[in-house]
Amino acid sequence: VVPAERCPAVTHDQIAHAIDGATGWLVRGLRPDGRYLYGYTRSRDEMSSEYNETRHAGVLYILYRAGKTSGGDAGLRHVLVNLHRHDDWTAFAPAGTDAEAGANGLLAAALAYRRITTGDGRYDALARRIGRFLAAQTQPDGSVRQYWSDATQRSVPGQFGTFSTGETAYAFALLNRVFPGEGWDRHAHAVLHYLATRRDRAEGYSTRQADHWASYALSQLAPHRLSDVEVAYARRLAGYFGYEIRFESQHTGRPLNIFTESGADLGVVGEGESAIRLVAARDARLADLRGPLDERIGCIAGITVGRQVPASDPNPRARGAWFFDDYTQMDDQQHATGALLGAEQVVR
Amino acid sequence: MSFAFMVAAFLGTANAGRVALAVVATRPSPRVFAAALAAAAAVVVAAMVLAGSLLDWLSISPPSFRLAAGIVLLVAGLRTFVWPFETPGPFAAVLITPELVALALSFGADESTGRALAALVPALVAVLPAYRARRRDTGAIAARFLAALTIVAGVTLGVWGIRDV
Repeated sequence: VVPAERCPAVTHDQIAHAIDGATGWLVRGLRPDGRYLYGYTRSRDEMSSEYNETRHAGVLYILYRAGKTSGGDAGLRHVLVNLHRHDDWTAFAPAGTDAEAGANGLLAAALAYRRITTGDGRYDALARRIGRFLAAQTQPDGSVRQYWSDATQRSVPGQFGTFSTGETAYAFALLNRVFPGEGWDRHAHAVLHYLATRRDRAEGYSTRQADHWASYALSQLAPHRLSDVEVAYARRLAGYFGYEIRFESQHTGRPLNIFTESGADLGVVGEGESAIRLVAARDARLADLRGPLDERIGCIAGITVGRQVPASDPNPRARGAWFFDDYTQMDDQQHATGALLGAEQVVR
Repeated sequence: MSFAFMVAAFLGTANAGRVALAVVATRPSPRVFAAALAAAAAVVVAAMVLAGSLLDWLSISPPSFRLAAGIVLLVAGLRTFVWPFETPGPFAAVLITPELVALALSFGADESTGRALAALVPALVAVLPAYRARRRDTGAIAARFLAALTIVAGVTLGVWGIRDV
């Protein structure tokens, strides 16, 4: 029932090297058209022919957040030639496809981080226009419609994404950070309140959903005072991700001890927990969580670093990646990097 | 964790009703009854005192053990609810049970030893009248009610174990 929780020791330097390895994998996968390597099967030395625009935006976001601006800018080219302008907003949506809130939320987050890490405002207007697309998708109750239809030129009612709502909340929170006083925080709080109180029932989930993007949004809003509902939500998310980390630390992948996770799965729980750690650092109502959160974040960082393909691996498509069933995908590196960037602030 | 919950969980797991059924069935001498009670108290106190070190040594966090203890209480509670009667063995076995030891370890890891000990006292006191038990039917009713309390405590512990960081 309770296998030992194995948390490999990890240092700040090891985390920094792991981040370099993962972002290196993403940048090495850059193609001439501005897209990145999507997926790779090691045993067959085979690159995936699939692509996903939301994950592309996620890679941009993590590269900018990690300070890999040139690698992000190279991928931003793919976005800039696939923008759809309508009324006062712009959305990233390749021709003939519906604009998706999640992809645009991550793009707004990417541009916000580019602004934060470089101080360069050249994409401020685009970030605001994407923010206005997200605001147009956001309903009065805080729910976020996932798609805007190219065919009908209207927002699609009744369709909500598993993660796009949280991604939108995070985008609003980051836009508020880079453009304070413009009202983005009002949208962010509305979406977070919906996530905390109504989303699960309204969107037909039988269990309460955890959302690491919501954790990130809370972390960005924490300096400006969270509501009691948001603090309670943060506590619930901390518990969920903490349980996931404990569970993961108990499972080694051996025949009698299976259930290991992909880099994306490991990363998501690390991202969620480290974002809530930022909330706890800034909000005294969560001060009791600081110690336990540090312990869990150190644990998941050690596990994540330990499962990365080492920098000494001769295969450039494997080096720095996380494999599951011998397959790795761009979001494995994206989420694992996000978790390690968060852990970097905890592990000294 | 509230003190009232800790008291209730110990009351359910020590299960004076099941002890009463064992008294009716085996008629232990006062010395055997007292020895069983003392042994149970000693084991539970030792579990509380050593809980932190033991879980550290096993690399198990208190919330994970809380979840495990909750499962043990749930299963034991269900078993007693369905079949509250004693099983063959020394009289002390009716008190020194896996669920009681698991609960003591969990409370010992989560709470101060003093608080956990204080929560244990009402359960031990509640067991004392069981020595005077003479009727099987009332013992069985009490055992089932306390088993239900154990089930509730087990589920609650399990949920807290999942929801905690």
